[in-house]
Amino acid sequence: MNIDTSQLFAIFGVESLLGLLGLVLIVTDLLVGKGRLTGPATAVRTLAFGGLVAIFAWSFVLEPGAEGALGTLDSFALFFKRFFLATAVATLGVAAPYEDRLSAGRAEFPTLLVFTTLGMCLLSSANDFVTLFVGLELVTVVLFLMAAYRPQLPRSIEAGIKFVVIGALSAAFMVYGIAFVYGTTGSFEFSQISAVINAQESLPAGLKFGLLMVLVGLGFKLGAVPFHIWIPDVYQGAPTPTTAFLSVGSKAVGVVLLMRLVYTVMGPAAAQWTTVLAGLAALTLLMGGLGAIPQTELKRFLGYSGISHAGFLLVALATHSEASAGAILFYVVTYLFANMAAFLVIVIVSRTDDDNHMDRINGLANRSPFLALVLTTSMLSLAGVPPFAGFFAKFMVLRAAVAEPALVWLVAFSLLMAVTSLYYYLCILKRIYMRDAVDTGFLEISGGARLLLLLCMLAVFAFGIYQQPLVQAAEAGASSLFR
Amino acid sequence: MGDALFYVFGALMVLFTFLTIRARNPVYSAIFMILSFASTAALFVMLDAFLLAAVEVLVYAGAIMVLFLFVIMLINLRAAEHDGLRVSPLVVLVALTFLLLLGRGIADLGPVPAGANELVGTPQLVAKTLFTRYVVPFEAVSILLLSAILGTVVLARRSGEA
Repeated sequence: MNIDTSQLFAIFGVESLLGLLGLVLIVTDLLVGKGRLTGPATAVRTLAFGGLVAIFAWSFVLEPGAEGALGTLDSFALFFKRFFLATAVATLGVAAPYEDRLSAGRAEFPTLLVFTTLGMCLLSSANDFVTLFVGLELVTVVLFLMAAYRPQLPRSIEAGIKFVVIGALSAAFMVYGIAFVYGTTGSFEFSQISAVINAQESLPAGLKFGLLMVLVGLGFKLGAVPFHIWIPDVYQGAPTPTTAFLSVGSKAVGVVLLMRLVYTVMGPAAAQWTTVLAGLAALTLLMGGLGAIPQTELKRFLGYSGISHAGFLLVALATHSEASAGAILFYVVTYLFANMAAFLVIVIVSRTDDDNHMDRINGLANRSPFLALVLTTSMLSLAGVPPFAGFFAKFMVLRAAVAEPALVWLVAFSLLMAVTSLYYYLCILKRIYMRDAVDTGFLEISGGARLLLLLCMLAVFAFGIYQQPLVQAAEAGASSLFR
Repeated sequence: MGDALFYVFGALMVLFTFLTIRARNPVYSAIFMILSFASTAALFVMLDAFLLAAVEVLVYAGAIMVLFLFVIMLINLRAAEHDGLRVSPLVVLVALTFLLLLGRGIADLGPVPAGANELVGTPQLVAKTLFTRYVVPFEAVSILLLSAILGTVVLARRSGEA
């Protein structure tokens, strides 16, 4: 077998450029202002930001359709590559005001971010289990490091260690399952595994076991119950930019791989899994909905909110139709904007220390009407209140699910949990508008942060009122899974 | 002959693994684990997978276990701090369930396809597969190692240093 480099670049162009960017960042760190803390950090951050934005822009020039034995660049992969690049850019935006708090490794943070984004992009193009596993490890190992990034804080170390243990456990499940899938089908490649699965009436037990183990491994990434236990502690302990990246990026990684696995690899045979996925979805919704209520820590709260969003994504996955796949793609994009805005607000309001207690946002409306407006928009979108984008995302998921008679109970339950979740999002709004501020210091918002917040808020508005462009992009992305 | 050897090495592997979790002194545990890896390597040799056997000895028994021993000695774990194996009924239940699933899965794998033995083993074949079919994951592993080094340096550095 010979390797055609131009074809390889056509598929993995984004990844190649990200790898190059990462190496350039390492060299820049070495060359610029040796031994000082701020000089190289500013240079590396600027360069990383410019590079990521350039690659993001370039990804719109790319045409989907390049296909090879080593990977695939269908419109689904391309959609998620853009998504991951946008997530990385937004994370850099969240990290910029946070940087003063890092006593070491300011310049390395963007570099690690670029490398883990590379892993995520690689995963969206994977069409065999070897690439899937290696890409997943690349993503998680770098995320471990980013979670324990402030070793002088016990909480950060605790988050890192918990994450490592859980990550190792999920990797073990995963690789064990992959071994069984290989043993029963004789191949690592998705297309051949899919052919074996759909050639027989009922799956052999070994293959079922293998696929179940892979599902468990991915459940950890998505944060589905009962694999969610790591989420609150890691979200709380990790540095806020890492948490922001984790909440969107890691979840989307789970989504990408589950979609490939359920829609492409299992194909029609996935109908047998509807009950399993629907059960997981119901449990996840319940846990996310009830777990968030007693929280008093902002990042823990967003962790539980993320679990309940994973529940909605699982509802769509259980549905198994082209409409539901499109709904998932729409959902993750709206989640990206609402979540990034919320995390950036958290970084700004807890500016000087690492106390992220909910008291911090008390009376935010008086201290900074702009931040209050952004946080309100983002909370209402996460809660799924019209006319914000989050409402339409939930609506698309449930509309697709209600078409399946077996899932009507799940739709009813999702609606119930959505109403429940409204309660705790409104509690946040109550703190913003009705309570007196605990600290009254001046909130400094840099120009870049203001721009990012404005962008996220406008996106949440715009995609709630005029959904057509994003819906079309999501449906185009989803359709390539079903060919 | 081959069958007899399989059972000998298989039994040794199980025995040493059991001793690994049974030993009270962590250093003994690590050494039993090395012996268990050596038995696994012997099983690989019997399957004509010579490269795998060599890798098992070099990487697992050699590099990784030496690292384990270093860590154990550096943090100076005392034998008394470790009470040995405590078995709760729940653990037994989980282990048995898993064993049952595993047995069911293996029974389902069916006979070994003909010619499977020639597929593994030679370094040439491994190298060729690694640098053609799996060149992308291979490169991704190099990025993974690079970022792991980078991150470890950051975590190990004292605060204030650039």
